[in-house]
Amino acid sequence: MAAVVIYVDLARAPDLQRSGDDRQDRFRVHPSSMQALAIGREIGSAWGATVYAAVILHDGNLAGDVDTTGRVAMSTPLAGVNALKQELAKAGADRVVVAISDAPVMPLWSTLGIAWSGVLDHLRPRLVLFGADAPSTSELAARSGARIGARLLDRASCQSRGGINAEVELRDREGTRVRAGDSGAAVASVVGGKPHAHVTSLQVEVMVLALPGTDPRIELAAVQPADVGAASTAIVALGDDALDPAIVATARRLADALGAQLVGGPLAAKVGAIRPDAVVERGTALAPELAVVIGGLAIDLAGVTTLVRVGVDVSGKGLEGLLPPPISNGLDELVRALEQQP
Amino acid sequence: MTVIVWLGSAPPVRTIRWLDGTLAVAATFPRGHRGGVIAIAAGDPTWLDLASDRARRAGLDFAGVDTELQLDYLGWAQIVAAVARLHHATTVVVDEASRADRIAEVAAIAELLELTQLTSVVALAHDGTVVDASRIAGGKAHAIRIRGGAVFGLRIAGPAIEDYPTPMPSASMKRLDLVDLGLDPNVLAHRALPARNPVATRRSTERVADLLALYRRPRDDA
Repeated sequence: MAAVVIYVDLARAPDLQRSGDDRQDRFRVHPSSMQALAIGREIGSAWGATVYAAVILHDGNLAGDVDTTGRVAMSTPLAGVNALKQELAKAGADRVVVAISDAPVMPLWSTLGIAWSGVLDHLRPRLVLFGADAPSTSELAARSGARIGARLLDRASCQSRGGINAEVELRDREGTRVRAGDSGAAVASVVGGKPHAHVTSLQVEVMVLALPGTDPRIELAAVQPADVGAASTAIVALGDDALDPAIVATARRLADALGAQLVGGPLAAKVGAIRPDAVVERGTALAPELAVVIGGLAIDLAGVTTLVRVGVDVSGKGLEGLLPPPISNGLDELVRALEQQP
Repeated sequence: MTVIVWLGSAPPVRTIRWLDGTLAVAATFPRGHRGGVIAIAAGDPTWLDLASDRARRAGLDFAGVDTELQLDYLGWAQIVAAVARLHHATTVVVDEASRADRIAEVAAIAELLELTQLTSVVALAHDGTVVDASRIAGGKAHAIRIRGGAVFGLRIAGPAIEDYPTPMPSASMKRLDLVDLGLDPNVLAHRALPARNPVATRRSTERVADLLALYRRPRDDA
């Protein structure tokens, strides 16, 4: 039977201790991974595929106890894993794969790659899903695709085509599709899954793979908050002509819905529309995945992947969305339309 | 040590600023009798002329792979990996910001060369044997030290450029052929992508909202 594998990022993941302590609050699944799991469940049910939720956990006691083939350690008692298993099963997993690594879990290929490759080699999946906004996706998704020779889909959503016997497929905005009858494997970062509790059996099988961890040639020296702009995958930028309090309030709603950072020029900070540390100086080059620019602002957005402008009348290469003036009308309608989407 | 700089298979979407930034960083790698820095690009002749011109201005050697193929991330990565093997290069630097599809090529090149990868690198320095990189992930800056080869996806901007001279066809450009790289164009064509029309700018509230919905933050209680 075909395997659909969902890589599960954890929002909180303390080190494992083989102590028997099994508090319910030890692990917390990243919400984007929960969306991916929901989509995996929908596809798995439609395609008749087994849905695996795969998670990598750190166990410092593992050193010297592993090889790259992934020793299956079914009986190893792991603190907190039982609660995690229940959560993943409720979210739709048929089976849970726990890869135990001696490397601390960081969103880097050099720390996750060996363990994750072990999972892929073990399961040989037909479809691998990542939450598009999960921290490890940028490092793991494309590499997973390259490893199994798969097609890649970016920010794909699950869609049904037809009536009662609807065909369920994944589709990204470039039009790339993955369907049940396709040959070959696919790897997708996904959005829009609707997590809900499934009433299927919670007696899911847990497979524990002990795998070696970090690449010794790579050393993570420090982690610290990133600078404004660089820190965000999404920004909402306020121009100096968009500082009316009503516009600012709507822009904040938009930023909140997108999980974006609200940025602007020095004047925006001076009038209190943005935080002082969210000032982007004129000419600064930014490269977030998404930028929504409201009004006119002199920053260099050429590195933005998806650029939307509101309240200006311009054209240009690579402009994916444009709402003409006046600012308030276009912005109000946009935020309302976004908030009303299911 | 030879360093390969992959500039991609098509010109930047909006600006050559990120291309110049990548070339400027690559130009700081040591060059000498044991290796050098070679910028490479693939695609149509107009793009190769532009890439060659920017590489020359950065003081780097350039090699172009003239091909009409439109490949997916693994197809282009096979070409880069073949050039890297030809030059025994274990460090590859990729301009990741100029086009959205380039980030997947970073991972594919690394997989084919069996190297580690670092995406979203915003600063990079080296002393000949050790590379210090800073990358952005989830609002955090990771300071990372690398000993040995790796594939780096760079998001480092060069100076702002309002206008630049139209590149002229370069007689000095080294041209690489797929067959010379040990690649069969017919086999490589299996990784070809179907031609797609460019997406027009969305100009209605509903269509822009549909686009932004792809980026909506998943709720914590979801």
